[in-house]
Amino acid sequence: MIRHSVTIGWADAPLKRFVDDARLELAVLLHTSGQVLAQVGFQRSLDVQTACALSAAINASAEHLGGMLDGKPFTGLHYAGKARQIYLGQVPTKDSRLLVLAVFDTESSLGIVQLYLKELYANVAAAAPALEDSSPALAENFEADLNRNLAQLFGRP
Amino acid sequence: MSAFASALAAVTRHRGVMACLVVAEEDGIVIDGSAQVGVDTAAFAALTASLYRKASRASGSAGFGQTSFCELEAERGRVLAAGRNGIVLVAVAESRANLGLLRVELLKAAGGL
Amino acid sequence: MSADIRAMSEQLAADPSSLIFLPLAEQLLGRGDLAHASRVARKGAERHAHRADVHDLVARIALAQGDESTAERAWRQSLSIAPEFGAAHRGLGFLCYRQGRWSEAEAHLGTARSATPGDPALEAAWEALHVARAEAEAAPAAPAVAHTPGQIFDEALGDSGQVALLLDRDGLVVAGQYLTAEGEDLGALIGAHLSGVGDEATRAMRHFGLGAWTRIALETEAATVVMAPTDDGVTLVAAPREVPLGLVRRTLEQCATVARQWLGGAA
Repeated sequence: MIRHSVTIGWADAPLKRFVDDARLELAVLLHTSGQVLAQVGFQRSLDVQTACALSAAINASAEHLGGMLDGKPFTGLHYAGKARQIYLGQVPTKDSRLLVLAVFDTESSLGIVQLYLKELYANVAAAAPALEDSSPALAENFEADLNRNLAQLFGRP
Repeated sequence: MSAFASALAAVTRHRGVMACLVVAEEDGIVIDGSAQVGVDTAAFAALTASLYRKASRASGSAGFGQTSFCELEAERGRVLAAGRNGIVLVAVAESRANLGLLRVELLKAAGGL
Repeated sequence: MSADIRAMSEQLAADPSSLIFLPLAEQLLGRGDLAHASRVARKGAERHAHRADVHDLVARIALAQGDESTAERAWRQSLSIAPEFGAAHRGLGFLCYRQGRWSEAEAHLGTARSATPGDPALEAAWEALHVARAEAEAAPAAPAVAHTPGQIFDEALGDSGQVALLLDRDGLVVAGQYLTAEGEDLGALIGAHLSGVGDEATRAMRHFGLGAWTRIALETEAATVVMAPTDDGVTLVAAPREVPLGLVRRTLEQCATVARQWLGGAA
């Protein structure tokens, strides 16, 4: 199942605009914990769940790896495949930070994604509700869900 | 001195040129460049490379073959791009800049990319 | 199929460079087989592009098919090869007369009359022209002769080999045409592919701080393509590479003006 924040909907417009402006195929905006805030372009809810779980895991790894190698966390990751590319970046907010995963093909480019990412920062900041409303709505079993999803993805029972 | 220094110098010496950038065509990232203060080089690089790519694909699909030069004229200036071997040379100029000269210079510089 | 046509077809098949296509296309035209006549004549025009009479034949077949713009283009091609070629002046005179372009009709028919004095058909056309012109001038001012959407740019384009299209915001052709030598209109294809370039420019301008875009020029292997925003669409002109860029830009300005006027009139 997809988990939403309690203030579901506020992030839809900024993310939709980011997708349209940067001509992305898919994008998802999530908490660093892996909880989805908004998504555009996904066909199945399971895919969103998977993408969020993996993105959160990758971000956590990159932060630690950056700390080890560079003395500070890595905050963006770009991978160029044959036909599609992904960009996973942090979106700073007033009180914390979110993650955005962007998937794009030749209609866009890394430069374009990075350009419109700056606009996304501003639009998210403008649209985000106050801290007490926007914090992730951690369900009792969220941690368990996340771990289960990751275990499934990596083929562990 | 970078490999692109002479190409950049040849373009930026012209009157009215605000920036000249060497940009990777596929990802729109600046490789090298020279710009006046206040010019958003990342935006010009990403969007001009994107325009150039779009124009190349469109002209190819329309049967006109590969694009070698692209000019975008606007109310308060113009952006020119010439590409070769996956690299696009982008010039941003004021309206008063001599288009004919810039075009020739850009094509010549692009030929050496 | 008559024996004549069969024999000529066989002769043409045996020797594609033969001028036998001229009487063959004439015969097909005379029989009303316009599609075959057009095909034969156009193939012949490709091989014998330097002959004024070949373009005259293409023009007469196009006119019989109701394609006035192709006919006009072909006759103008004839005149670019042989400026005094009577048949082309005769055809253009007749065409301009049909379209109410009196001065042009008078000029072409006058030249044709000089080339073949006493030709009864030309004399009758000359008389009819003056009667029609006098009636038109005596009548209260009427709206300008409406061109079909495919023809609105013909005058602005002239004989330079350039083509123009007016596209809407979705890349669909509103006016103009892009005809190949075979008579196929590629306007829809060209429009669909190239209109996206305008969208890309519009997006870019939001970040450039240079105001709205006013013109895009692309130089490609085979053509120079220029476009300008027109209403909520785009006017596009494509020209062979040998046409100077300055001329293509000038043609674009003229075509954009024509498009705005035409849209204003059509609204």
